[in-house]
Amino acid sequence: MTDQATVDVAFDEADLEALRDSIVAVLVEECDSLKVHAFIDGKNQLDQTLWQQAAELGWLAVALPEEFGGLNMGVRGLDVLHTELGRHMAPGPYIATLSAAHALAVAGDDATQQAWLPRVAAGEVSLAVPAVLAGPAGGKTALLGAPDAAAALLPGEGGWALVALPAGAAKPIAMWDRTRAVVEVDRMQLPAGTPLGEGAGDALTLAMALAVAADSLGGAQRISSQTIEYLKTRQQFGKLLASFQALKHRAADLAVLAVLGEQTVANGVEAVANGDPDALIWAMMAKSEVVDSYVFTAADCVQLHGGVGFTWEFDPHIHLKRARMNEMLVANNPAARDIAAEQLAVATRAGRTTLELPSV
Amino acid sequence: MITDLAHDLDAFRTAVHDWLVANVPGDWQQQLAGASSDQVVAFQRDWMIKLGSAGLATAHWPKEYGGAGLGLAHQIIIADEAAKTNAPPYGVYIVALNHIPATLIPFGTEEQRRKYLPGIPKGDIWCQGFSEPGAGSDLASLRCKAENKGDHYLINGQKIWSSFSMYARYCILLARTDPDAPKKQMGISYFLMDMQSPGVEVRPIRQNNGDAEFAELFLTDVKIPVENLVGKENEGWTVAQATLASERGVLSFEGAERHRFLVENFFRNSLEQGASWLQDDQLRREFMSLLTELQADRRLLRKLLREGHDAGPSMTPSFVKLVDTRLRQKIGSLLVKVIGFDSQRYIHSVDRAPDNWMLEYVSSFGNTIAGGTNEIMRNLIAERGLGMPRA
Repeated sequence: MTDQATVDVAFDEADLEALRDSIVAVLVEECDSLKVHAFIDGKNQLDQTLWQQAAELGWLAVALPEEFGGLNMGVRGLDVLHTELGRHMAPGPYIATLSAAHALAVAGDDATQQAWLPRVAAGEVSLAVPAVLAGPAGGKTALLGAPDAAAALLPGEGGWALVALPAGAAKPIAMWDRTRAVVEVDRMQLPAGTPLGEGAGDALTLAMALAVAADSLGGAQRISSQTIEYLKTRQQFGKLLASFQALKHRAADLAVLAVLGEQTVANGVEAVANGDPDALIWAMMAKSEVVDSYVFTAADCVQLHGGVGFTWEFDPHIHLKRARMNEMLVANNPAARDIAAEQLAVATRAGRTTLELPSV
Repeated sequence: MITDLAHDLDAFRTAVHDWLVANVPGDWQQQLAGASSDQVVAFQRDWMIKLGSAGLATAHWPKEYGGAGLGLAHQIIIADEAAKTNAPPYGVYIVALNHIPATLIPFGTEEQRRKYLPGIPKGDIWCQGFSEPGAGSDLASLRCKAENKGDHYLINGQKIWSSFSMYARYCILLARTDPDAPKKQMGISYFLMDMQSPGVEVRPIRQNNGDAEFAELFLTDVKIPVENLVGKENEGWTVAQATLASERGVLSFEGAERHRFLVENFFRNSLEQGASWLQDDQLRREFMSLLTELQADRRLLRKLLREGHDAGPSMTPSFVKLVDTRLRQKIGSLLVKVIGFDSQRYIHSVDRAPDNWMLEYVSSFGNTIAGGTNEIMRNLIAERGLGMPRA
């Protein structure tokens, strides 16, 4: 019994699955493990070639309203996209750009939307956002986003603003996770920017928390299934590793984490998509829980691979670094839980329940 | 009758809700605090008969055997509303209401169905004689013997972990009819045993929470008439799978829904009382994590119910078993820590008393062990779900 008035049901589960299939079909070809490793080693420009394809295929517009060339699938569409990008360790400024675009779509005025959203949809520009949303508002700030990001969403004294980034203003920072670009800006050197409506910060927080959660879910599912397949091929003591019960139980526990993660992300996505006034609880909890699971899973998969798990050539370390990066984005996991707890207290004091689920 | 409204799910839900609000004794938890096992069983019998008279206890059964022929959707609504209105649980009847129809409808004879099913909404309690001291996780290695004597089988052996068998009128029993079968699963037969038969001895076992809910059965030259064989001789293992499959699903769903209200109330009370644990970063964060896992668990149970019996080789039941039972333990453990010293005060309680989290915690180990231990669930997930080879 969902509140239909707040839900835009122009698409259904089948549409989302079709979207997923089309995204996976491309990523399997264009963003396989070898290409990602080559990108990390500076041997291709996968981030840019993939970005161009994403634009041509409409991925960047999946959440945007139709008037900007979008599919109008909102955070449900973004959930599918980020899960699959995370699964394939895709390099590129997707989390920053699409979370910022979502905030603009929610809280930008007409002129700002007209000026920016069609260009985001076409892949002409990418956007940046603070890596940590509750960070200090002045001075040097680390942004999640590409060095050539055209603008950044930044918090200021009068609320959030869209700030155009002059060429050279964003200095690239080398990160352990080489699949995601981070830049540093000096707030004192930047123009004031265009102020955004009141809901911009909240919309950005919700979209980015869900994006990081979905990315983590896809990554965790991928590395655990890949590791289990590896256990089925590697022999020691004359037996397949996968036949040892100690390892079976660990594999089962990873599968449980993935199943829980799926439901936890879906819980957050539904809360935001349905306009739940307490959606912040479930977006932040999805972020913190599923990212913790990703960290645990990636670390366990390094160990389960044995010696090769410690090498540059195998995938586990890429996931491990993406997981730790995800842990710090938006708000670190303990802080995210505190934000959720605060909102739960607000809701409870106001006599609202936040645990209602649709009947079966 | 409420069940006449079955065609309209919303109207049915409202009617069930209204009936429960009007009929649930508001003070049942106080009534049962300190009650003896006999009193609890008597209370549950009365409540079950009351539910039965409204058609709600056996609504999911076929009409010809005393049910209303309603589907899973209605059964879920009844469970959901029972949790919402904090209706008394009636654990004594779990086997009777769920396992018996799940077994007799597909595998029983028409005579068996007509003889045994109608007695259940009138109060017949059933127990299960499956596990043995030497056959727990490895149930198929059971040794309780059944010899075919023409018009009856002669039973000798021992059963264990048989819940409420001291109150049971009948027992579903697995026994070995062919000790020489090529595979251990192949020599087992499935029987309906009258607990009043000569040679049946029941010895209660006290659990870690102080209750004696289950018992050992000692069976010495017990005669079971041949017409009480369910399915064919030596094919009882297949029948037992149908029995065991009914253990999860709606029952776990209702349990998790009840848990939701308990945990939610605990948080609300803590907030109203300005409880100090809310200022403890570690405890507060852990609470948020478990609350989130409870949401995931409740969603997973909904998925399980949607998949229903058509899921084929779905791994969802095993995932639910692992997640749901471990979560109960984790929540109990955390809330004991949160409550602090007062959690250690002993409260005698045969069934769940309000906010008795140490009882909840200690009892929760029953769930991680019963119905296939969580270690067996991990084996199933790894081997059947993830395709990891058997050793």
